Amino acid sequence: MHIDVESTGKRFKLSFIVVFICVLLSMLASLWVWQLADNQEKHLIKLTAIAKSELIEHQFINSMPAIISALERMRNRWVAREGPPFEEWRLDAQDYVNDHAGLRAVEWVNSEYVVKWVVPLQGNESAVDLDLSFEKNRLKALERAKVSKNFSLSKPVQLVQGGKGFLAYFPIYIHGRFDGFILGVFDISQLVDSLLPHEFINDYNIEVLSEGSVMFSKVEAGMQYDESTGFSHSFALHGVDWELLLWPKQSRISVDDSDIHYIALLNGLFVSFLAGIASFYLIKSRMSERIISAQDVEHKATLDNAIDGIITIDAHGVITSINNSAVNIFGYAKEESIGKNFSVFMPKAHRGECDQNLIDDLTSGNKKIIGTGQRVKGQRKNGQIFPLDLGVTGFRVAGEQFYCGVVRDISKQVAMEREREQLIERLTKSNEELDNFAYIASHDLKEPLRAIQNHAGFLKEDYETELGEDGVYKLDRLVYLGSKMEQLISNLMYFSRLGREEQSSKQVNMDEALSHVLERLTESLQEHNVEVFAEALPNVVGNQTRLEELLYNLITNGYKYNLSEHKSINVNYDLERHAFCVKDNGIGIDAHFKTEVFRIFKRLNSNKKFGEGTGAGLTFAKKIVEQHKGKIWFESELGKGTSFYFTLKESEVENE
Amino acid sequence: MNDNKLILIVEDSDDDYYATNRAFKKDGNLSNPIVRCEDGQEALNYLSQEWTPSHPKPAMILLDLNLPGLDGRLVLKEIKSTRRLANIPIVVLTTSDDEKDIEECYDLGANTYIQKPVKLDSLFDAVQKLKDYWFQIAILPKGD
Repeated sequence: MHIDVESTGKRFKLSFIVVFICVLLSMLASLWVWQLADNQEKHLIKLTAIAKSELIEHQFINSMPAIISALERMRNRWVAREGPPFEEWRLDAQDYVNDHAGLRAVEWVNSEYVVKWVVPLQGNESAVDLDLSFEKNRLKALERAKVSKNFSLSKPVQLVQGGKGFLAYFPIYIHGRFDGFILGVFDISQLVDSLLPHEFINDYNIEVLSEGSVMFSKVEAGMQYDESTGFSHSFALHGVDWELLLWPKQSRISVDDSDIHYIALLNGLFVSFLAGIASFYLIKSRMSERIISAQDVEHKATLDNAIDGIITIDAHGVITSINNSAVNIFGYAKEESIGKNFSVFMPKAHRGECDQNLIDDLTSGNKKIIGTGQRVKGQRKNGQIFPLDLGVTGFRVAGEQFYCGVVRDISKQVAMEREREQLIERLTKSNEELDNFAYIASHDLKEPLRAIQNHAGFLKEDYETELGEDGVYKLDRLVYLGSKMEQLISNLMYFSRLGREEQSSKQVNMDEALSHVLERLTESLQEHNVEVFAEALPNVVGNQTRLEELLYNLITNGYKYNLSEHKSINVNYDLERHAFCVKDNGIGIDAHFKTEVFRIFKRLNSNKKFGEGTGAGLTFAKKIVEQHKGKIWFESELGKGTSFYFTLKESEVENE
Repeated sequence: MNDNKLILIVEDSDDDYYATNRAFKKDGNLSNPIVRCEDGQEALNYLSQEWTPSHPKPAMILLDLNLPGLDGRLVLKEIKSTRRLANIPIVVLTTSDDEKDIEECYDLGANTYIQKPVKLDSLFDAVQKLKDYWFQIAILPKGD
């Protein structure tokens, strides 16, 4: 199973972005809810403002007729009494003023529009003897009331007593005679104050306008009317337009629109943020878990498919995991082995001891067992005991010590090793026998041979005359054959010695070796009329004596089997073939004999034609070359000559 | 005067002894007494006794290496490590031409190493030369 970490990384990034967007959305939602709550709160405040404003209007409108009718009653009493005495009237007026909070004063205005009577006098002194015709609003209302003979309300005016208000004029006609007016002075502030309980509006700004000018204002400093939370309402009262503005004070807004909203908002943002972080880490951990679990699967697959058995044990030797190969090696199923002591895998005889030893080794931190492979004996479920290689490594997981054993069933290797050892043993024995054979050949075979020779010699010496010519010839043949046999035995000995010889590796100057050989051969070369042409040869590593013998054998071979009048031998190093070359102009060798020619005592030609020889020279040459890890071969043309090539190292070979 | 000097031949093979003996006696030029020991032990026995006119100290020993029982090499070693015998020239006359044998014998103190020639002529030649060298050319320590 392959885990694409890159794609996981991309997915992780994507998840991160998604979480980020979610957090952002959640924050926006928090803001929106906050905004919604805020708006709702404002709406609520506005509704309250509307309700209060309606109530004020209602109070205002409802309270006016009572006052107006009271003042009308007063006027009517005046008419009925045809002008009451001041004291009587004053008491009445005082009652009205007391009863009606908005009514600041009750006055009698004579037909000349001059205020004559004022109740109460206190606070209204400035109105006494005031000529009301001084101002057009008042005059207009007076005129209107006088003409209509019915009461009339003035437009809002600046009261002479201070403050703002309006005036109600009730014309008095006694039997058709105009006798001035009963005048009600309404103070807006008092009126509004009286209409609304203090606590009812104390958290609202209130402003009363009439005919475009502010009549009453109870507004916090710097507060402007706010349409979103406040309410403005217009109504008409006896021909005068009124406008009432009501909106919450700052304190009201802060109470309703209090920190709770902000706290809720912050809380929302904070929770979103926390949720985001939590999600982020959750996703990250899920991703990690996925990667880890995928890696786990991969590791498990790797372990299970490992060729070697892998067993994990804890510090007490209890098996905690085992892979398929180990299951196959020991024959215990996973469930059978996990939880057991690993000594079940050991032969019974060794169990206690091995177990203890291993634990001792492990706990004492014996480096001998940890980290190095060692050959131990294991036991399969079927009881079979087999050799295995055990390598142990220690590791810690969450502070707990574990050991991992890698086991390999080496029964086959061991069997093969044993077989190999046996072969080597047999080969050694056979070599020893060969040595003995060489020894026998050198001594035990030669001794009787020599005795035969000697006695033949003595026979000839002592009985030459008796034997006659024929007898002497036969004795000579006997001696000759004996010496021939001795030569063969010597060659055999030499050959076996070549094979047993340890390879010495010294730098050998081949030019020098060749000149030694030619020196040895001087007489023979002259005798056979041979000319040797030598080119410069490379140095090699090897045994000088043997290499000289090699050249000696190849050179003598080159002129022995040579019928040319001018025998020539060329010795050089062939750069093309990367091989030494000894070339002659001799009789040539049939390619058919390419291996035969190197066989010991094999002669391709008769002795009579080419003189004495045992047929071992090329065999020696081949053996020496092989001892130098080289190769020897020839290229030949019958009747023209033969080139023998040899290399002294595998790497130089480039043959046939 | 050299004719009186005793030659000790340590040789188990009758044939070889015969040939060597005959080579020494050839042409009648040499009439040195020859004592033959058939094995190493016999040779050491002879050498360990007091020298008397009837049991003289050998002037030269011809020693074969391959002897039954006590090996020629051990005999050589014993002689060369025995003070009263060490100065007797020892000619190793053996079949072997093994380099190891040659080296070993010289290491042990052999004075000459000769491979037994196969051809009778060569043997006669070799013995003749031995006689010439050791009894006429070389100067040997005086006998006890």
